[in-house]
Amino acid sequence: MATAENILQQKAAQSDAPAVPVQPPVPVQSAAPQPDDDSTQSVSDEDAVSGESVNLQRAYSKLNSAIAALFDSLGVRRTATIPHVAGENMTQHLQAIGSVLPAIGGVTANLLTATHTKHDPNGGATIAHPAAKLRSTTIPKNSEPAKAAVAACRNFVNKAAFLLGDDDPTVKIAKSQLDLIGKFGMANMTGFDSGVALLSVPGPLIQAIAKAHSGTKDGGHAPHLRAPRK
Amino acid sequence: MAINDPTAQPLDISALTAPTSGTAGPMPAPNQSAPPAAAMTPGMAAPDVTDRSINPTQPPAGPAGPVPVTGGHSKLAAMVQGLAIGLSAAGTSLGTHGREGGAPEVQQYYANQQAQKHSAAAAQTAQKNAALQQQLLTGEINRQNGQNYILMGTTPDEMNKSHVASQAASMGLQSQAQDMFDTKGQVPAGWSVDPNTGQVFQGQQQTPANGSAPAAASTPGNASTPNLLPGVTPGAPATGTAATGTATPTSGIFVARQNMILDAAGKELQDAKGNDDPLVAAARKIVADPNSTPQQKRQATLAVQNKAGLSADVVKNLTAKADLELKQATAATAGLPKTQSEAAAQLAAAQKSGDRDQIAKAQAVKDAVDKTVQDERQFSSNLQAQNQAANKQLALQNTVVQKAIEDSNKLWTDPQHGFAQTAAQVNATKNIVAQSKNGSELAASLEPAMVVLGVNSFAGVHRISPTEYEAAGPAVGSLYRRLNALLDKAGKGAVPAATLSEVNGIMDSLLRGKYQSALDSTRQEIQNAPGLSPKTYFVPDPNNYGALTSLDKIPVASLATTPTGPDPFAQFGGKRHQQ
Repeated sequence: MATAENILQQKAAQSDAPAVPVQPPVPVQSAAPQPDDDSTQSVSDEDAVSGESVNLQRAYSKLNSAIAALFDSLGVRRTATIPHVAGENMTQHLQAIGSVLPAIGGVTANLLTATHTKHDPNGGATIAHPAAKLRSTTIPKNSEPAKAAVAACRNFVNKAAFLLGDDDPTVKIAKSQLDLIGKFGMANMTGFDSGVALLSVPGPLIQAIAKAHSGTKDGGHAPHLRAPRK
Repeated sequence: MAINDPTAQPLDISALTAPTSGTAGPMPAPNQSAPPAAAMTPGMAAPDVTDRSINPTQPPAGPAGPVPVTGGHSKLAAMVQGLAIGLSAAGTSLGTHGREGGAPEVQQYYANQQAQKHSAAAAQTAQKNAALQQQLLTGEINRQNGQNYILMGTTPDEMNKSHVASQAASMGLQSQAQDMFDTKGQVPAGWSVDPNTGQVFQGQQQTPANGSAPAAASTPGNASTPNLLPGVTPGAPATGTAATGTATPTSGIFVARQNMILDAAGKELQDAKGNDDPLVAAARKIVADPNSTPQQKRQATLAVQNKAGLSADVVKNLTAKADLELKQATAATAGLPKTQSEAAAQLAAAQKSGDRDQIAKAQAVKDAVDKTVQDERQFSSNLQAQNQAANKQLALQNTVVQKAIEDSNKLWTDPQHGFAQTAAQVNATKNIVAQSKNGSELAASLEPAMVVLGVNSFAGVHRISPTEYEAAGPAVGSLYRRLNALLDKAGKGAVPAATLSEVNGIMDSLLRGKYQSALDSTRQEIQNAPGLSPKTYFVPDPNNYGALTSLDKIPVASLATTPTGPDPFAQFGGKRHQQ
């Protein structure tokens, strides 16, 4: 019988990274920022965009990492941690997630966060937290992980604004939403609502950037970035 | 407690379901004794040793509640409950003398119970819906998170603005500038308009070093058009506006579009007689003017377009129509041979293919090319013949003009018999005449003037011979006769002052006749010389011989040259004869 435990144990055997179906909550202290981690308040918003280019994938990975750390700090136990196995592509990783999810209540019973394989110090993983438990857990006042999660989201929004411009409608909406969410450090919000809010803000920005960048491809609107035709 | 109170709790008769208990079983204590207040503080509270960890191997405990009534006791419980309800209703009715209670109260009780069940079911359904919505939201967020990663997988790891924004911004400015030109006929500073296409671009229009407009090189009919055959010039080279430096093409897609709009607007604005609106006529003039800028052409067209009320859709369709016509015109000439050799090659290829239609078409094209070449040759030959004839004519004209000028100038400036010399001599003679003491001196003083007037035999007693009268014509001849008569009358004796005055008058008349003679001859020669104009030829002024005036400003004298003023012959008893 393919239970969640069996599947995760199989993945653990394939990967160097530990795969634990139910991990204990990560202490707040263990979520300390990495040297290049700009997802916490230790990195100001002004420093988020300091060069000629930005790395959106890293910023989004750190946002997911910060949200997972917030959930862990609330005492909500993970239902699954599905690490990325070295060498597997995205399709294979999604298939692995699809195998695990039915055993832990399905995709509608768990809130998933995922870190990037390249930009996560641990090699990237998909983490599931129980949605029901998150809904019944509130964020206390002055929660440092909550502030770090908001800062990580603001970091991402600033990077997107650097590319799209501050006048872009999606940027304006995202900044307004983020100001609303992070006004009081998300105090008294449920863990589920905070996670949903922080994950929803970057969505339209990423779509706008992907749409704009698609114009650089053949038939797009930026011919100066295309290869010359013969 | 009234049992018809909706808020009343139903009776708890669960104790009746216990097999070993009766209706007189022990009743639970209504209130448990509260702990002392000191025990409620955290410091005095007992340690919480409850194990709240989750044991996945054990199913969760069900919700706490009354023990369900099962088995045969359920019927008995229902009967006892119904009896109790009936007794309660009867008691209420007795106590209120029939105002309350009774059967209606019993019915109300059961209705309330049913409503409570419905409310509970509705609440349960709403709870399920809320849970379902939350599950859907969770699923949607998870899907969006995955999609975000997929979308970011389509972009580079490190992104800069040029990946998404720079070209879009540039295209936005271009679009705005083009829109400004199309709707207002203006362009922003630092932008220019291609006069051929009407395309707005950033920067200044490139002007060739020779000063001609850039588009002029591609204008049909220009000298750069390749010859149909070597040595044959298909057409005269473009002249005039191309070298002005500010010229714009009068053909091309931009002008074709403006003309198409003007044609459509012109039909809308025609009056009842079919006359063009003045604004349309003015706009057509501006569009056709090679010195007009593209902005001026566009503004003129916009004025007409607005006056005619053409909508944006109509203008768009007209523009598309103009483009289509130009494309069709271009396509119609595409693929046609440019020389006889090409036409022959196409015919040979068609004959080789064996396709009759293709052969017929190629033959027709070759015939047309041959005819065109023949026409060109004939045209060239005619042109050369015409040029030679024109050159001869021009040489003849030049000769005639030169002769006319020389002859006319001689009439006025010849040192022997010209008018200028005559006028000077006559003026000098008049001074000498006034000092003559007798007839001989008078005659001698007149001799130089007679010489310049053309009188050959004026000397001594012979005076002016009759031959000279005849040669001088009727007008001047009569003056000579009068002069002879005066001199004969004076003889060798003293000359009266009146005679001297009359002689001077005759001299003035002779000079005036000389002037009129020279003037008539000059007018005839100038009129007959091609290319010469009376406006540009100057002669002495008739009122002041020392000044010059153009020939056209001197009125033409009539043939009847009857002198006006007092008759000079009256003082001698004679009268003026008609001449």
